[in-house]
Amino acid sequence: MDIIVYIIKQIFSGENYKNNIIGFFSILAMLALIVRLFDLQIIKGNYYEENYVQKSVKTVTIPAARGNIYDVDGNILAYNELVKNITIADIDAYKQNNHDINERNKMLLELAKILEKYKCNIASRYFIDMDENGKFYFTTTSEKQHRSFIANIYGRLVTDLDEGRNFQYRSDLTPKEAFEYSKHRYAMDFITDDDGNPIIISDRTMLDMVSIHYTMRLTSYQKYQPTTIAENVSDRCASEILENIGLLKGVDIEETSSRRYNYAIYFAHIIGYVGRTSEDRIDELKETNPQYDINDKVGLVGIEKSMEHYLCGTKGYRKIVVDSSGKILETLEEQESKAGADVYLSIKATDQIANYNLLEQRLAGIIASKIVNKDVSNVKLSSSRMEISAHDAYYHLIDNHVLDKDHFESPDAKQAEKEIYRLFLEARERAKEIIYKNLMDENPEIQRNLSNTAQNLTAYVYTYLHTHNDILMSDAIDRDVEEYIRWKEDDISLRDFLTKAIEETWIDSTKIYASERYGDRDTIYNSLVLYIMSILEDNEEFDMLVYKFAIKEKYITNRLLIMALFEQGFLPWSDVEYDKISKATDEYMYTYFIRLVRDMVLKPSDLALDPYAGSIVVTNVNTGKVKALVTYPSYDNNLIYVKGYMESLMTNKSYPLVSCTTQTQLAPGSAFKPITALASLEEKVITKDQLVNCNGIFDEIDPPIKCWAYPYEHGDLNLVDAISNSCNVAFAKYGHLLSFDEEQNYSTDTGLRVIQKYCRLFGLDTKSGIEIEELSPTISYTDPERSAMGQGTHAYNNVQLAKYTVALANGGKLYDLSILDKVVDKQGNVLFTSEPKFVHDLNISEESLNTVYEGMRKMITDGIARFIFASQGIQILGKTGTAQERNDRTNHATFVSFAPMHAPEIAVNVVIPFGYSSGNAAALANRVYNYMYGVTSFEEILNKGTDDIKSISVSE
Amino acid sequence: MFDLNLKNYGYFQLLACIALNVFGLIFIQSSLGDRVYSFMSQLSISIASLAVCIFISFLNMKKLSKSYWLAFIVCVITLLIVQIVGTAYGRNSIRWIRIPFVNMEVQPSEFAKILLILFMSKYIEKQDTQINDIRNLLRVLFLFFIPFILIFIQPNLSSSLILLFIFVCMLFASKLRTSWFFIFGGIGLVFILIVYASVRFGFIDRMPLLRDYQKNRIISFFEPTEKNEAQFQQENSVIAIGSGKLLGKGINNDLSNSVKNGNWLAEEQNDFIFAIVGEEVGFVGSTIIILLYIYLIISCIVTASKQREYYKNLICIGVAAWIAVQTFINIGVATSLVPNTGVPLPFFSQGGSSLLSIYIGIGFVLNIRREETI
Repeated sequence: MDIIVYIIKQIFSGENYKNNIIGFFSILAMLALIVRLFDLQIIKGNYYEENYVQKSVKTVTIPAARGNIYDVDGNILAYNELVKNITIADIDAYKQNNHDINERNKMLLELAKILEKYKCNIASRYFIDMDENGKFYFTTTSEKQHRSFIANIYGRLVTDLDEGRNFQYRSDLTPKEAFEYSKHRYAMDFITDDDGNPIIISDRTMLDMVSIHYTMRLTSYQKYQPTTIAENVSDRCASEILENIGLLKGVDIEETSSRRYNYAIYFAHIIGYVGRTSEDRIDELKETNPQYDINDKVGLVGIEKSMEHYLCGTKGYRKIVVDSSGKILETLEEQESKAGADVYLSIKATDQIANYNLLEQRLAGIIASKIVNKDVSNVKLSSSRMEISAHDAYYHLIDNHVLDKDHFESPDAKQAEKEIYRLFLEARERAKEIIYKNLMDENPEIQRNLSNTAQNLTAYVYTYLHTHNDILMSDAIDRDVEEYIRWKEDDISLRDFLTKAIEETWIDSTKIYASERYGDRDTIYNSLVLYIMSILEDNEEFDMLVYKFAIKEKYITNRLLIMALFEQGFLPWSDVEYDKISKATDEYMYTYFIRLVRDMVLKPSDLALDPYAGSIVVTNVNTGKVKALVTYPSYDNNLIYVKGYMESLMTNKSYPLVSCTTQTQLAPGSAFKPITALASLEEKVITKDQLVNCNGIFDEIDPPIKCWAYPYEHGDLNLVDAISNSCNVAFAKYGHLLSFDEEQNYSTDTGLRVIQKYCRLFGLDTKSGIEIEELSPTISYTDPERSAMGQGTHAYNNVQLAKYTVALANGGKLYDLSILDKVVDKQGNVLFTSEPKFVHDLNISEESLNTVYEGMRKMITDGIARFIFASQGIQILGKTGTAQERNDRTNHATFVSFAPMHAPEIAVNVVIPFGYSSGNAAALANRVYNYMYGVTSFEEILNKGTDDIKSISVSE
Repeated sequence: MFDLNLKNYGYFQLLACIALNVFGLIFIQSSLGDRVYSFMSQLSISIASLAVCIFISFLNMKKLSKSYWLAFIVCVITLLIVQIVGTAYGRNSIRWIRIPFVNMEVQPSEFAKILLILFMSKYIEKQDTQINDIRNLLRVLFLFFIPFILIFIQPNLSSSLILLFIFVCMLFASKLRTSWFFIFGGIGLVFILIVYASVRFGFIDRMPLLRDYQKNRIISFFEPTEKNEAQFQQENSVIAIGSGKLLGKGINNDLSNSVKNGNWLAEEQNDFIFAIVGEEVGFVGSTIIILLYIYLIISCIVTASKQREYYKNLICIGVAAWIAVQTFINIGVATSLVPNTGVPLPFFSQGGSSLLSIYIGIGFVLNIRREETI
């Protein structure tokens, strides 16, 4: 005791007592720590050792159920289905030593094998893929994305690329180089089994392994965060994964929901689909709703996109305490997710389905009636008279991938396929001979005198030289040289032309391996010939040309092709059928083929022959609500992520991904005339009774405009008759009259200004207003006379025409159209009702409107389309339109209309691009009315064939 | 400039620092595992700092002490720069400045400690007994307050409180009358009582000046039922330390039930480095390390007491207080004696600024010791 007192006295006295005090308390504090350590480590040591639980707090997001999409009656169009996904996470199971890395790679190999076995699509962000030939290619879609990707492969920042003294991080890697780099980086180039022997892995499997590992590292910012690597896998696949879960460290099965679509084909372009999107889009979405994350699936197109903010709902979260194996110990906090709201369209599913079928039947009927069993030359024929050669139709079987031509040469090709391939090879040799002969003959024939086939082949050679690699340099060609002019007129042989081209150095001889650049003409010519013959090898374009001519010349017969359709499984196998055709005549096979088209076994979208697309829009004229928005062809948005499907859609020459309703901008043709008529009346350049004379041609301008009736004439017409006869001269005249100002000076600008004014009045200067993507309209800016007729440079899509028709029909109110009805949350609260979107009053006099209505009614009852509507009880008002775009292809068919006359309810707008004649559009509209008004039932339409549909010519 | 008088050189002191530094590196390496880059960086900073320390220990204090205001100015300016162009490096306060070209980050609040010690030691010495005059005292307090507030608003409560503690110790060791301390002590006690009451009676949310995360830490300390991330860190640390028992699990162990072989402690190589220590070398190892710290602190104080020149005394006291308080708080947090707050363990925790600044401090102590006149 005394000692303690003594020590304390020592400390608290003396010169430096203050320092001592500080020292004393410091030691005290340190001793306290030691005591505490003693307590924890010695006294409680065993307890802590036994109860070693390291806890951590994790926040897990609870995804929100996406809202559904319904039609106007509540039929479900888009919903969520529970699916199983495979996820992978870095759970620190593999350390950074050689043994562990090898183990990890073996795990990835197992995983890749399972995925391959069940044909699972890997949700990879590794933007390199392999084609069937084993060639690597990049799948990046923008320069920025590409650079970012290359930087990630190196594990560096984008700013490190091409920097540094040794350019060690080059950005110009080839796909193969990039792949090899990744392989090496992940030590996958040498994987050994348990005995130390190297495992041989195919490139395809290796690519999968690299993709999985890369994607995991990219999207898991912290350890233990799972990345989805395969979606919607089968139960069997999921089971196999779970069975091997001990080996597959970090892999897990996640149950989540996947989007499903009903009546997919009918609604695909309207509903759209969901998927992961770019960082930019996520940032955009985050601005209004911060909950978005790069892994989220958001609406990419259609209603899914435009109504994303309603459909997405609100995510929830759960704050949990987990131990080292991820086991949940307790839940600290939880907030439930809130499901998204449901969207109701204004469209009725039955209407959509019925109209789609009507449209497909119409297109099939037109095509079937246009395919003729002879060789057709459409040059100089009027549009409605154009036809399709049967051989062209057969060729499309190959061209549009109905038949897989690569399979013809496959070892498991069947009889007809093998025969086709053999004939193809022969034909190709023959084609090459023809070309060679043409190039080497002493006195070759001029183009014009060659057979059609030979002409096409030599023309191909010319096109090739001229478009590939710039061998024939367009800039160098002097277009005044005689040989060139003669070539353009088919008045010279290919050989003579090319010889001249060499002389004139229009040919870049450095590119054709001539041994002496300045050799003489003949040497260069011979090199050129060698070069030409070489480019015909392994040339897809040329092969297709060979098929075309082989089919045309009937080497490859229609019978063989149809037999191949059976063999490849396009047509359901039947021994009886197959046997029958193998013995049939060509004539019979032609009929058989037509039957396939009429029965829509070979659909218009399969063949991609004109017309392969079309659009119907049905709208309520008093509200602007759309009742049906049909486009053909379409696709199944359930299959968007199925391997190969998107690719097949993009290579289909009927362009199923392009909506004919919203993304095909065409001149409306005569369907525009009601606007010109109203403009003329309102601007008082013409009165109702004033007559205009049509003598078949309007020559007050240059070039003159021929009436469709030419060389016949309409004589004197008043406005009503001008409409019902769709007289071009009359309307050119009206357009012309609109181009005079107050001082009677003519100017195209004046006329255009008036026309543009009325276009704007009818809302043709803006998009239709429907709530999905759409291209913008173009009001004509040239040639008031042709513009008045609906040609010129007008370009509108069908739904924009519908907008104008609605305003015309309801007597003067412009509405923006809408395909929405309402948005309702899961509790039944209406969040949004789509009210009619009134834009402005047209302020057009009733008198003018009635005059135009009279004309449009007369068109149906007495005019050029009367026989189409002959037995139609519903009082339809309409205007046909034929728009010419190219003279080597048919015209577009349009039809704008509404009904019934005295109290209009609905407008029906039909556009058939390359539809030959407006009669086809009108006839289709007629059937639409029959359905909409219950004259034809839904079942009748679904069961109907196309036997009574053929292309209808309305002289126009 | 240099005095090469080696008679009284504090070899053992330096050795103790190096030992702590080396142990620190060993444990950092253990926790970092394969993150070799970070470890190499810490190693190189250690060597560089040691060099600086030795360099400083040979400077001429007399000449150096004449520019004590420079220390203060540099301190304030660097802290101002943090306010203007500082970065937060992903945490929730802006404490660092990034130096271009060299690609390094410095944390001025660490250097503020030594700079303030150097400045205040001379400044207070100049005051001598006049410091008891309220006007002078206020001037001193005001000068202190400038860097204090600049650190406080980063926000960095822990560093500012450490600075306060060092300052108070220096004032205590000065000619200031003890009665002043009772007054300040009383105020401090009242403050702590207010904080405790605010947690107890639930009105902590309305406390001004404190940020949410700071309130959370205080709450989690006083009321352990409110569970959050910060509290789990301490729990995990305690379990890790406790499970080390007498001899620990071994350095660089590969056991699965080891605090570093998981994702349990955020940044265990910084604030919770002692969790690694306790787990890997047990009670024996931990105590040895604490004894090293005790030795360092006492030797600084002994050096202080031997000084005739007053400011040298204050410098050594300042450094001693600094080591004492940071060690106590860091290990206290790791053993859950103290609310969770991020304070680096001197010589041990990863962090260049912390290491360099404490080495500089020791450098000055070594210098003073070398020039001992007694």
